[in-house]
Amino acid sequence: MALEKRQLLIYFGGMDSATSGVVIIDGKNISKFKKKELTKYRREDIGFVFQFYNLVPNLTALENVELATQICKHPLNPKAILEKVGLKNRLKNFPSQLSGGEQQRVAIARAIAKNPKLLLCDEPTGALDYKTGKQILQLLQDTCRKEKMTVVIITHNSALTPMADRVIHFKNGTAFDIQENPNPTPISEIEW
Amino acid sequence: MKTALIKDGIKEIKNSYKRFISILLIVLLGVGFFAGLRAASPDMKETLDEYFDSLDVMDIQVISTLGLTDDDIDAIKNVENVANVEGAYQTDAIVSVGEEEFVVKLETFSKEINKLNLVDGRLPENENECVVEENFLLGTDYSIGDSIEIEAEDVTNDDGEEVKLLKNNEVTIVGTVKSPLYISTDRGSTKLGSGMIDYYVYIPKENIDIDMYTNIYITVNGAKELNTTSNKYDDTIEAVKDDLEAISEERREARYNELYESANSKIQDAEKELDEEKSKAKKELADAQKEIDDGKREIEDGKAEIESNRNIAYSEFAAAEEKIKQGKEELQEQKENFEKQKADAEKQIEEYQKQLETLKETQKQLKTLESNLKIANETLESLNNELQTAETEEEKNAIQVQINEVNIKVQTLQKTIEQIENELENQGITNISATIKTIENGIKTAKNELSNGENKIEEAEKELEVAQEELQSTKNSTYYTLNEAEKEIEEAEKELKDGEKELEKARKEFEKEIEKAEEKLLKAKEDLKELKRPEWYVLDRNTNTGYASYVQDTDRVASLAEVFPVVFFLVAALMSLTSMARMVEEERVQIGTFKALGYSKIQISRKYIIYALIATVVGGIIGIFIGFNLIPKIIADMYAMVYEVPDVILQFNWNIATLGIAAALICTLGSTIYTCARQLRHNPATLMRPKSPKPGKRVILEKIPFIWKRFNFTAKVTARNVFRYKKRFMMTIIGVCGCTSLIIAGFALRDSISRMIPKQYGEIDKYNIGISLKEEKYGDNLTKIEEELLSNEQITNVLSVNLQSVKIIKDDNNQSIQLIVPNDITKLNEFITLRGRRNQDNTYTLDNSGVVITEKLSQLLDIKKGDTITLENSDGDRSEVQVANITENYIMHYIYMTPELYNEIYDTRIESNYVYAITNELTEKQEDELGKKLLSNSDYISGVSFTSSTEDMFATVMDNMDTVVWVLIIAAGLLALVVLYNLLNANISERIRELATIKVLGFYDKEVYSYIGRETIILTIIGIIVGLFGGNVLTTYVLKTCELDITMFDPDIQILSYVLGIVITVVFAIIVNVVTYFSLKKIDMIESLKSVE
Repeated sequence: MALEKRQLLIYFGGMDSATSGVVIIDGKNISKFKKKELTKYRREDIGFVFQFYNLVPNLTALENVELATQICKHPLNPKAILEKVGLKNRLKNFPSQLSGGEQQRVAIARAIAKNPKLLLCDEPTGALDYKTGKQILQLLQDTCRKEKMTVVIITHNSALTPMADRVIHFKNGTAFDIQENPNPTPISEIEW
Repeated sequence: MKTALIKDGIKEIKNSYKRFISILLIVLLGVGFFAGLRAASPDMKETLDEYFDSLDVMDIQVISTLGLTDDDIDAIKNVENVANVEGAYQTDAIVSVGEEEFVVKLETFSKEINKLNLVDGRLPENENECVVEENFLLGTDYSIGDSIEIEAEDVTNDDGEEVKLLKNNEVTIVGTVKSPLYISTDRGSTKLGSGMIDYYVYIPKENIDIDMYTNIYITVNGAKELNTTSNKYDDTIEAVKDDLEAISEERREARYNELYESANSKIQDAEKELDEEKSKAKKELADAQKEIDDGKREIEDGKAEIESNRNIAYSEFAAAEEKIKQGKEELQEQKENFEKQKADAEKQIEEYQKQLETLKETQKQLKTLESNLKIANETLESLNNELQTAETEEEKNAIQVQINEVNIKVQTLQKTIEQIENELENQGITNISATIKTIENGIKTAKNELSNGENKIEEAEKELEVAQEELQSTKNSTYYTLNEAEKEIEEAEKELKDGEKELEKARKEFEKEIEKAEEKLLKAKEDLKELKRPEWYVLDRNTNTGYASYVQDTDRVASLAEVFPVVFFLVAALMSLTSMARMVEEERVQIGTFKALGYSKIQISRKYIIYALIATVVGGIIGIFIGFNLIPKIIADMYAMVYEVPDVILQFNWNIATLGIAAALICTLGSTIYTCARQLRHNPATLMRPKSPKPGKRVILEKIPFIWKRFNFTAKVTARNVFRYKKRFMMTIIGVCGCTSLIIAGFALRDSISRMIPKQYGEIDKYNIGISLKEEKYGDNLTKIEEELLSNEQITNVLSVNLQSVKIIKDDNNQSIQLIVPNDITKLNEFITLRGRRNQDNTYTLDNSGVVITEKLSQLLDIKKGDTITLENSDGDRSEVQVANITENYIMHYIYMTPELYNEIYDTRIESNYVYAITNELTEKQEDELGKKLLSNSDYISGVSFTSSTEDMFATVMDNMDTVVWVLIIAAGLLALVVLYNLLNANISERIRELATIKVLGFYDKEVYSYIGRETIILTIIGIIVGLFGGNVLTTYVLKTCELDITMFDPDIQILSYVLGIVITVVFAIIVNVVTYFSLKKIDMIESLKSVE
C-alpha cells in the first residue's frame, strides 16, 4: 500500500493526529484534536469502508450494522439501510455466509448507517471481482447522490476517476492535480 | 539447520514471551504441585525410615501370653536372617507427682535395638536411674536430677509367686529421650488410672527383678537397607516372620512345660506344707486348750483356799475382839474403884493440908513472937547499958521509965508464948516442926499412891489400845492378803477367758487359713489345669500405632497429590492447545510455504514442538524444585505437631520428577502435535491462503427469544463470543473455577480446623476441668466429694461420671473409645451438649433406650442411628446395645450411656471415677493454682486437667494452617492470573483486526474494553460459580483426606470462605482486566487497514 494512501486514510479517518500541517474537515482542524476528540470525530463524522470489509465474523449482517449504529447520535435504521444495499434477505447471515460483494455491501451499510458527514472508502473494490466491484461503486454513487453524502474513494485504480465529481491525484506525498468533473460518467460505462 | 531452528525458536519465544511464560507458569504450577504433594509422602516415609534405621528400630517383635525367656531369645537368634535379638520388659505403672498420678508406659531400654534418641542428659547407667520423654518434664515440673517414685503392680514370676517387679521403685531422672516406638502422641490405653497412658519412662533392665521378658525385639538382616514402607521390606520381614512362626510351636511348648512343671511342683510343695501346717497347728491348739483347762482348775483351788482362810480369819478376829472387850470392861471397873479411892485420898490430903496450914500459921506466930521478945530483950539490955552510963537523973529516970515499959512488954510476950505452947501441948504436939514434917510426908505419900493408881489405869488403857490396834492391823493385812488373792484369781480368770477367746480365734483363723490355703491350692490346681499353651504374637512395625498411623497419614497426603494437580494439568493442556493453535495459525502462511518447499511435517512441526518443549521443561524443572522443597516441608511441619520425627528429609525423587514432567509434556506437546497435525493436513495452497475465519454461529441462547430479546447489543456480541471459542471457554472456566475452589478449600480448611476447638471445648464440652478420682466412688461418698469440690468458690458446678475405655466389637476396629456414664443424667446437658451437627437446636437427652455415639465414630464404623452394637467394657464384658442417637463431636470418640442402662446390660453397679467441673472465668495462673489446690487439699483426686491446655495446643496448628492457606491462595492466584492473562492475550492477538476496526468505528477505549472485557468477566463469573461447587467438593475431599481417625473436621463450609473465594478470584480477575484495558488502548488502528494474512 502506498504511503500516501495510508496517510490519507489515517489523517482523514482521524486515526491519528498529524505532526505538522493541518487537516480541516467541515471547518474543523482535526489535526489538533486530542485522542478523545478524534474518537468522537470518527464516531460521529466518519463512515469507513475497508478494503477487506472488516466485518465482525461473529456477528450477522444486521448486527454488524448495529455495531456501528448503536454508538452514534443520529443513526439510520440498520434494516432499512441493508434493504437499500440490497441485502433484505441476508440480514441474519454471518459474513462467512456472504459473498465478497455482499460483505462489502454490509460494510458500506455499516458506514452509511452511522449517517456520517464523510464516507471514507479504502479501495472498496480492491478485493472484488469486476462485476461486483461495479455494483459496489454504483451503490456508493447512489448513496452519494440520494443521501447527499460526501463520499471519498481512495484508490490506486485511476480507471475509476471518471465517475467522481472531483479527482485529486497524489504522488510522492503531495496532491499534484485536482480536477473537477462537471459530468461524471455513469458507472456502467466505466471499464477497467 | 539445527542451529537455525533453535535460533528461530528462541526468536519465537522472544516475540511471544507472554504466551511462553503463560505455558511455563501453568506447567510450573501443575508440576510443582504434583511433585510437591507426591514427594511429601515418600519424603516423610524416607525421614521415618532414616530415623528408624539410625535408632535400629526393631523389625519384628514377639509377644507371648506367658512371657518370654532367654531360651526363646537363643532360639530366635538361630532363625535365618535374624540380625539382632533383644528382650525387653514392658508394663504400665503409676508415677505420683505430688498429689497427682500419671500413668506411664514403663519399658526397659536396649542398647542394640530400639535405641533411644537422647534429647537431654544421658542414658541411665544403673538401676537407680531412668530416662523420660520430654513431655514428662513439661507436664510434671520435674527436671533432670529429680527422683520419681514408680508404682508398678506386682508380677507373677515363673514360680507362680507374686513378686515386686522393680528392685528400685525410686529412680532418678537422668535424661530425656524420644522413643521411636512412640512417634505419635497416642501412648495407648491401660487398665490403670484414667485409662490413658500419659508418658513413657525407660529404665535399665537391671532394675527389673524378674527373669522374664514381655517383648523380644528382632532386627532382620538386610532390612535396614530397605525403605521400611517398601514392598521389598515387607517381603523380607514376612519371610523371617514365617520362620519365627515356625519355631514358635516348639518354644511355646517348652515354655508351657516349664511353667507347668514349676507350678505343679509348687502345688505339691504347697500340699505337703499344708498338711504339715495343719497337724502342727492342731497340736498347738490342743496344747493351748490343755493349758487353759489347767488354769481353770488352779483358779477353782485358789478360790476355795481363800474362802477357808477367810472363815478362819473371821473366827480368830471374833475371839480377839471379845478379849479386848473383856479387858475394856475390867479396866472400866478398876477405873471406877480408883476414882472412889482417889476421892477419899484427896479429902484426907485436904485435911492434912488444913492442919498443916494451921500449924504453919502457929509456927509463924511463935516465930514472930519470939523474934519480938528477942528484940525487946535486946532493947532492955541496951537500956540498961544506957542507965549505967546515964549522967543525969533526969536521964536516969527517963531510962528507967523506958525500962519499965519494956519489962511489961517482955512479960506479956512471954505469957503469950507460954499460952500457945500450952495449947500445942494439949493437942499432943510437942515438936511442931516434926509434926509438920510428918503431915507433909503423909500428904506426899497419899499423892504418890494416887498418881500410882492413875498410872496403872493409864497403862492398862494403853495396853488395851495397843491390843485393839494390833487386831485392826492384823485384820487389815489379812483382808488385804485375801482380797489380793481374790483379785489375782479374778485376773487369772480374765486371762483365762481371754486365752479361751484367743484360742477360739486362733482356731477360727486356723480354719480360715487352712480353708484359704486349700482354696488357693485348689485354684492353683485349677489354674494349672487351665494353663494354656502360650500364644506367640509375631508382630511387625505395622502394629506400632505411631508407625502405622504415620504411614497411613502420609498415604493420605499422597492421595491429595492425585486431585490438586489435575486441575493444573488440565488447564495446562487446554492452554497449550489454545496457545499453540494460535501460534500455528498465525504462521499458517509460513507453514504453507515450508510445506510447498518440500519440508516434511516433522520438520515443520519441530519448531512448535521445541517451543512447547522448552516452556514445559523449564517450567517443569522450576516447578519440581519449588515443589520438592516447599510442599513436603509444609506438610511435614503440619504433621510434626502430631508425630515426633526429625525434620523431613527433602530428597530429589527422579520418578516423581520424570512423571510430573512427562505428564506436563503429554499435555503441552500432545496439544502442540495435535494442532500441528491438524494444520499440516491441509495442502500448501490452502495454507498459503488466509484461513477462512471461523464462521459465526448462533448460540443456544438465541433460540430462547425470551432471553435473547432482552439482551442489549453488546450482551449479544459477548454471548456469541463466549460460546465461540470452546477451548478457551473451557480453559478459562476450569482455571477460574480451580482458583476459586483452591481459595475456598484453603479458607474452609483453616476455618474448619479453627472452629473445631471452640466448638469442642466451648459448645460441646462445656466443662473446664476434668478431675480423675483415685478410686471409684458411689452414693454418699460421691456426694461428699462433689460437695467438697463445690466448696471451692471458683467451681460452680460438678458432674461425676464413669469414664472408661471401651471397644466396639466390629471387624477391623481398633478405635479407642471413651465411654461416659454420667452419675446424674439430668445434669449432663450442663456439661456436655448432645446435639445434631446439622440441626444444632436438636439436642438429645440420654435415656435408657440406647447409647449416644459421636459422629466420627459412626462414620468410621458405619454405624447408623438405630443400629445395634456390641460394646466391650473395660472389664472385658460384652453386651449389645442400641444406638439411640449420633451426636456432634470433633475430637476423640465418645459413647454416652445412662447408669441404669449400664447396670442393666452389664449386670453391675456403676461407680464414678471422674468428675467434670465448671469454673468461673480463670486466668492461666488461677487455673494452675486451682489445680494445685485441688490436688493438695484432697486425698481422693489423682489428676486435674484443664481443657484450656488442649486449646493451647491447637493454636499452633492454626499457625501452620495459615501457611497452607497462603500456599493455596498463591497457587490459586497464579492459576487465575495465568489463565485469564492467556485468555486476554489470545483474544487480543487473534482479534486485533476486529478490535482495530471497532476503534476506527469510533468506540471509546472503555467501550472497546467492555466489548472484549465482558467476555472475561462472564467467563470469570461462570468460573467462579462452578468454583463454588468445585470448592465444596474439593474441601470435602481435602478434609476427609486430612482428617485423623480421632478428629473430625466440620465439613460445613462457612459463607465467608465462599465470599473470600469469590472476592480473591475477582481481585485477580480485576488485575488481569486492568492489564487488558491498557493493552487494548495500545492497539493501533492501522491494523484494520492491513490485508488479511
